[in-house]
Amino acid sequence: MNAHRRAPLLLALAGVLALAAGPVRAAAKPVLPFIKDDYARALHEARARQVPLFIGAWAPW
Amino acid sequence: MRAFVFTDRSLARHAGQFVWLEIDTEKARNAAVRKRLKVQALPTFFVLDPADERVALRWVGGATAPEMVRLLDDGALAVSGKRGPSTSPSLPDETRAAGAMDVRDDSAAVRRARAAGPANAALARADSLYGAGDDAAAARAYDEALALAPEGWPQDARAVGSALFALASAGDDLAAARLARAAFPRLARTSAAANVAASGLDAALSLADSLPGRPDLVVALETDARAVVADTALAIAADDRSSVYISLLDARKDAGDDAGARQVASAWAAFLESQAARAPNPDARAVFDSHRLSACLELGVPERALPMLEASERDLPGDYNPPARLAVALKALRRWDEALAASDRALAKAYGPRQLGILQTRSDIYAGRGDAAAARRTLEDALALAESFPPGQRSEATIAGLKKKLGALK
Repeated sequence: MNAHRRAPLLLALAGVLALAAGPVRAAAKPVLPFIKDDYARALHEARARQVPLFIGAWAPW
Repeated sequence: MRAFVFTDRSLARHAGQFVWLEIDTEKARNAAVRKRLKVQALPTFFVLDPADERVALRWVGGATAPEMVRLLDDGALAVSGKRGPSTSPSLPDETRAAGAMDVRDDSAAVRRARAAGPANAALARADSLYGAGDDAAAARAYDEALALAPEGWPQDARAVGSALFALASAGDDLAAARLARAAFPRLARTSAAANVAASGLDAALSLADSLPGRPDLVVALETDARAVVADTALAIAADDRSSVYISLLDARKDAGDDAGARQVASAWAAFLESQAARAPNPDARAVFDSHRLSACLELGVPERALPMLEASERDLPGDYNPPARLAVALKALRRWDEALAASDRALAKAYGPRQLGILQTRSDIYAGRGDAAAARRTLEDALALAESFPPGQRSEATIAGLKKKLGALK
């Protein structure tokens, strides 16, 4: 896997090699109501509403 | 993805169909879920069945908005159990949109759905294995699905993309390169073309030089990758196109072709500059910073990266990336004091495993200006930090790399 590829970037390399170039980073105003960094809350909501849970794993690189 | 895809209005109609969670894998609070989901690369997207937390669908890498819509549809179907070997075959979009399939219906769409039944069943097995993180078994199941697939199978691109990552993760670069070569002709005009060509070329370049079939695979996949960057009408994300340039650059370096590598790097830099110039806001422009810096470093002109990184640091004051990248560019320019100052600013804002990269650059800066003791101390700090991370963030490969680098300094 290329070390400075945008996506996907292997995490084993990420701490060492990705400073010069990494995956796409943050932006504003998503059209979907994302819960941030709270798996327990999101899982609870998904169970209550009986809908699937979508998870996006990312990093601000 | 966050800058360009999750802002796409076409996704809004799916808002109520899922609960949406994003996890910043650099944060310690997400370490446990990162470990449980076996996140290997970023970005990765998952659809979970909330009843038992089973991963019904996993997708590694970027996606266009239409590809994300398909992922959402497939993920919802995988959770509801409306596909797979024990239920009805997965339906093509036009049939799904029309509602439940009438088994007496003999329309072309339904005939295609019936023909795809065995492939869809194999795909469901593959997705289940892939979701569980069993990449080697998933790769075999995707291969089976692709072998069973009828012509024009709607799931072709996703199956190939997942199979390529599963094979790479399982260490089977030869199978990955061969799959990419076989799949590229039928996906060349789709949004999957960039990923197929770049993943295939990367896999071929990873093969041992002594492997007899390596040269032919590299030549063929380099030709495919060149076709992707030459096709300016192809609807692919700009950063995916940029990744193809990186693979082409690696191919020219692998061939020992310095002039060819420089030509690719120049074309890559020109492409990135044009994309950044079109960006509607600083966030969207900064998406290209990392690759623009890499292109400048490749061309031996790190000074060209300074204005854009300074602009990003000004426009995005909470972001550690612009000063961290400035430290890299200033180090390349041997402007040690300014590089350390940029490193200070980055470390003040950084968190999680990303701090390790900043510390390694900092160690290199100290070594560059002749302060071996400070270089060593900085690496020792990085090692202590790496060993302090919780499971899910702790990387044994990173720790081994730091120890090796530290050993070389002693």
